Amino acid sequence: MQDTLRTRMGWLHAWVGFAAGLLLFCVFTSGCLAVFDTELTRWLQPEAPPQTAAFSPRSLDHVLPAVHDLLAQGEKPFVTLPSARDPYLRLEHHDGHEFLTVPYNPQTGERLNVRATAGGTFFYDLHYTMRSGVYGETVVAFAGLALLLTIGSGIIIHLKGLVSDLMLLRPFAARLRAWLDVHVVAAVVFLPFILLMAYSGTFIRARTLFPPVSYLASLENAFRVSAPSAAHRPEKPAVPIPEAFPPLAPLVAEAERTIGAGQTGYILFQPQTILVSRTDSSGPLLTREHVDFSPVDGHVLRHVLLPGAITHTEQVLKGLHYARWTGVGMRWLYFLSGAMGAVMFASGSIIFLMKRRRQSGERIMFRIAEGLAIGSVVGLPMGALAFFWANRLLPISLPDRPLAEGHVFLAVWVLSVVSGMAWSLLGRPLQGWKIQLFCLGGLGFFLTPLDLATRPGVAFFHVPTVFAATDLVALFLAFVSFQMARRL
Amino acid sequence: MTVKASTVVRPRRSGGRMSSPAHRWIWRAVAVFVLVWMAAHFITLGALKWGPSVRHDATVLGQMIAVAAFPLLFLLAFGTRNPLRGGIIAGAVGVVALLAVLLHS
Repeated sequence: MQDTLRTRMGWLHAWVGFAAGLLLFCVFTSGCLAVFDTELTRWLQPEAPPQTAAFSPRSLDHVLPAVHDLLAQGEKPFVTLPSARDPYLRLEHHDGHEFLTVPYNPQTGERLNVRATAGGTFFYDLHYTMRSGVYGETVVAFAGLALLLTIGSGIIIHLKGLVSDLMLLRPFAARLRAWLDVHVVAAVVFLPFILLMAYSGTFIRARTLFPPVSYLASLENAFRVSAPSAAHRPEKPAVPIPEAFPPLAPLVAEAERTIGAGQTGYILFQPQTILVSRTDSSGPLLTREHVDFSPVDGHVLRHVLLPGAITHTEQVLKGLHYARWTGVGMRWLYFLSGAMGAVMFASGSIIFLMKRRRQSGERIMFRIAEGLAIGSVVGLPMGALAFFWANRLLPISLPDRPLAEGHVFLAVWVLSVVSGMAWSLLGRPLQGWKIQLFCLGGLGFFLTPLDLATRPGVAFFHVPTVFAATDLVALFLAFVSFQMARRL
Repeated sequence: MTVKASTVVRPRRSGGRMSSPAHRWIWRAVAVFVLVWMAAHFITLGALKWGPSVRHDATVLGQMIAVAAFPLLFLLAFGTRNPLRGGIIAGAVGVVALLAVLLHS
C-alpha cells in the first residue's frame, strides 16, 4: 500500500468507521425511534383512546396525591401538559433508565387504566447510554468523536467525486460496487444532517469526554485515601414534603403571564419548589425557562432564564438535536435522515468485511467481526421489534413490567449476536445473515396482526395514525429484510 | 483506488526491515490521538481562564471548541506526509492551550 493522503485517510476511514460504526448503527437506529418517543408510548399503551377531551387546568389537582406519593419515595415527579403530539396529561418520573409515564384524562384528571410500559423513552435511553449509565454515555460520546473523524476522512476520500457520486446508484451492479453506491449516496445526500447530529450529539455529552477539571486532579481524587473523620458530621436533615400542594391552575396561569400563553409544558415537583417550565415545542431554542413557586402557599419564588450568546448557541444545538419543537413532517424527515445514517453505517461495515473476506476470511478476528456485524445490523432491529411484541404479549399484571420489556429486548439482541457469531465461526456467515433477516422480516410482518389482535377497541375508522404508522414502518422493514435475505 | 505516479512515496527502511504503512499508521494514529486529546483537554480547561466569566458559559464554550477541534486537528496531524510535522502541529496546539491554562491570570 502506498503512503498517500488518500490511502492514509482510507485506512483511517475504514478502521475507525468499522470499530465505531456498529455502535453508531445502534445509536442512529435508536435515535430514529426516539424522535417518535411520545407517539410510540401511545402505541405501547393502547388502552388509552386515540382521542380525548380538551384540557382543563383544574384536572391538574387530581394528579397531586400521586405526585405526593412519588416525592415521598424520593422520586422527582413531573407533569407533562397536553400538547398537539400527546392529548393526555401525564405524570412522569425517571426510574434510572427511562421516564415512566401514567396518563390522566386532561379534562377530569381521572387516571387512565393503562398497562405499565417502558414506553418510547426506552429508545431515548438506549440512544445515548446503551442502557449502561454514565459508562455507556461516555462510550457513545466517544463514538460520536469517532464519527466526526470518519466523516472528515470520508469527505477527503470522496472530495473529487462528491457531486458526481450523488447521482450514482447501481443496485444491479457487482455486489461490492452496489454496496459502495448505497454507502456513498446515503452518506453524501444526508451529510449535513449526519454532521449536525454527530457534532451536536457529541457536544451535548462532552462533559463525559472533556470535563472542565484536570485529569490529574480527578486521578488524585480517585486514589486519595479518605482520612477517618474524628467528628462525625451530622447528616443533612431531609427536606420535609408539604402536606398539601396549592392548586396548580393559578400557578400555570401566573407562569403563562411570564413565559407566554400556551407556552407551559412541564410542572416539576421538588420538596422546596414547584417549577413550571416552558414547553420544548415552543421553538428551536431548548431554553427550559421556568417560573418557580413555593409548594406551601404558591407564591412566585423566581423566574429563571439563562441569558447570553453562548447559552443560546448551546440551546439551539440541543433544540436541533432533540427535535422536540418540530412538526410531524420535520420529525419524519429526522426519522428518514437517521435511518439513512444507519444505512450508511450498515453498508460501510458490510463493505469493510467484503473487501477483506478474500484475504482474511479465515481469520478468527474476521469471523468475530462478521458475527458482531450480524448481531448489530440485524440484531438491534430484531430486539426493537421484540420489545413491541413483549409489550403486547406480557401479562398486564406482571410486576416490574417495564423492566421485563427491556429484558426481552436485550435477550433477543444477545441471542442474535451469539447466533450470528456461531454461524460466522462455523464458516457459514451467509446462513447467519439469511436466518436473522427472515426472523426480522417475520417479526415486522406479523406486528400488524398482533397490534390488531391485542389493541382494545380496535376500529378502522377512527384516527389510528400512531398505530398505523408504527405498523406500516414495521411492514416496510419486513419487506426490506425479506428482499435482502432473498438476494443474498 | 488510483494513485498518481508522482505522489508515490518510497517506504522507509528501519533497521534493514521494511514495515508496512498500515503498521506505521497505527502507531502514528495512537501518537496523534494522545497529542490531540491533550490539546482538546487543555482547551476545555483553559476556557475557564480565558473564556467568559460565567463558569457555565466558559465550560460550554471550551467544550464546543474542543469537540470541533478534535477531529480537525486529528485529520490535519494524521494527514501530513511527514509524521513529525503532524506531531509538531498537534503538539504546538497542545502547548499553546496548556500555556493558556498556566499563564492566564
